[in-house]
Amino acid sequence: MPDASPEPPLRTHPLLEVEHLSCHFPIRGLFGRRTGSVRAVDDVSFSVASGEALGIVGETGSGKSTLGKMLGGIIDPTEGAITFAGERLPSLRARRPFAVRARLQYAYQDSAASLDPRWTLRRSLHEPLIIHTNWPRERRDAKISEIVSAVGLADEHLDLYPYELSGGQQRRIGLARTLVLEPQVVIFDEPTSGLDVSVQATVLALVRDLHRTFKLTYLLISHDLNVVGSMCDRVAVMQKGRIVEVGPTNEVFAAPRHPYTRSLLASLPRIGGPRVTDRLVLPKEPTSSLGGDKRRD
Amino acid sequence: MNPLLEIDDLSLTFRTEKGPAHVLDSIDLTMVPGEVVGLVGESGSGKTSLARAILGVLPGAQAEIASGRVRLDGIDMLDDGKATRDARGRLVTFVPQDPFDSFNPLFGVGTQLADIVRYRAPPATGHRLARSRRAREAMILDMLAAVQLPASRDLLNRYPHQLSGGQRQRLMIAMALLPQPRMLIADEPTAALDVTVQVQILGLLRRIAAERTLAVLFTTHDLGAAWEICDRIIVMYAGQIAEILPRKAFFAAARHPYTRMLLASLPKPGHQAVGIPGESASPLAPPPGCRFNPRCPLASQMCRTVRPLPSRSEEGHLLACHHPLPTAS
Repeated sequence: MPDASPEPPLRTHPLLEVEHLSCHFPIRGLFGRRTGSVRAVDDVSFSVASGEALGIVGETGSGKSTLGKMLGGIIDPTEGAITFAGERLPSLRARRPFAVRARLQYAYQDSAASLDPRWTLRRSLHEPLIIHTNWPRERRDAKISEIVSAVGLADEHLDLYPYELSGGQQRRIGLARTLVLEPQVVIFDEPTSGLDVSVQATVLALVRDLHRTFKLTYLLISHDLNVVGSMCDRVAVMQKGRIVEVGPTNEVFAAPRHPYTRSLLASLPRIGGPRVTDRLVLPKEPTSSLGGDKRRD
Repeated sequence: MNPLLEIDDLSLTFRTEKGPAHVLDSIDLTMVPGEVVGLVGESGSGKTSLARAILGVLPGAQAEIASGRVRLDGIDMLDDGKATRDARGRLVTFVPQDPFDSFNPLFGVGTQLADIVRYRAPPATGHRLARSRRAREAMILDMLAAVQLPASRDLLNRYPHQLSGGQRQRLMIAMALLPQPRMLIADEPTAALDVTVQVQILGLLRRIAAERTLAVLFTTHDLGAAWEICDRIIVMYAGQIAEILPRKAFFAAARHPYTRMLLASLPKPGHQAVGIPGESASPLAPPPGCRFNPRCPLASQMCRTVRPLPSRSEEGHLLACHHPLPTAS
């Protein structure tokens, strides 16, 4: 921990607990009047124990990213409470304490876009340490070297600019930037979207290594059930803003109980097995839903 | 069956600020009508450049064909004559990765489909006024049914942003089919879609290919999608063809180390994939010999100097490797 960390929470308490969390976005009509709302996340509750890896899967618009951003402190929840290490987090209007922000990190989907193109990677990696610690430069440099080698890059990479890196290397720098403050919980939002399978596998192997060596607790938000299946102990399936099924990954994958989970798993191509498209009755696109289904009230 | 597409020894170079980039290195490929062929490889392997070469839409100022020819139904697609220009967008059409970027946001989708019919499609047969507006509309509504969209004017009056991703991709496929092409090139058509929508689009493409004996070249880096739809799979690495093999053999009897490592990188529940260490070869300075040699665990001195030539190992299985792995894994 960069700062003097408080006592580790008691084993009986979950590290992260979410109770009845909701996020509603208003729909504005004429003259900015509120005509309804989209329930992006609707009454979600779960908890994550220390050292656990929880996967959150769902399709586009299921609210999984909104949920991650609420946990990361980027979006303010409409209702509900987030408890982290036994402390209830204040709403955004009261700003999260620095200590919590360092220990609970949100890793953006596209780390390339979250790096400043005019900064060298060294400067981008120094920034969180400057904000959150009062370490001297040498100590920061040492810490950065350590974390950069932990994510499998060389010190020479630090003098490059983001555009000089490949997609996989950019993700690694994004990971390093998240991990340099030694967070207890990281929320990975689609950490491998847009990567090739070979690069994806190396990035995921890295996350697993960090999980093992640093006892990192993480939430992995993904639309890819295979990724979640290989990375997480527990999985929560989201549909239309609600968690419809949650349980140990192998149980959910072997015997899904909710029809939505079943349909998700059934549409997964199974290499070596029969073609999914052969046995699937293709439903027509609904014509009634304008631009996908909005959940209004 | 006579081949529809014949590519012989195609090498393509892009002129860049840092010198020539060798994007494609002597590619040989044939396709017959009605066949669905998957083009699999990492980003930078030359999938899209090959697709563009077939379409004849390479950037003229930078692209330089070092050698080879591309013939589609007897027409030289690298030529710039009238026959080639007429073939583009008629004989061969394209389904893009992201349909939202490819629609004009300012026009209703109906207008955009009607324009295709008007300028690209052959006149409707069996209609009294084959070129009338009514005939065009009938063609479009037929096509909507073919891509399993409700054949309604209501849908045609909408703008692209009012449609879901699956609806947009279906409309893109409808647009690509309206000129009644012999070949369709689909560049990662399902990369931006959810799994449940993805299987529907893949099933649709496969059914259309069978019904219309349409040759489909399907580029993807999603091996699961390739398994769903393809008859044959071409594995490319850094501009070279590594292996060409039937669908079932791809997943059961692949022999090229790269193909095997790619398959081993797939995430699976309960299985921890390791991936392929190292970076993909740069087209600016490709390694001599087999371009995969710096990342290959089996590379020998021969791999670093002599390029392995594709050879037929079994029926329909083409392999370019000096040290192929045994079939039994």
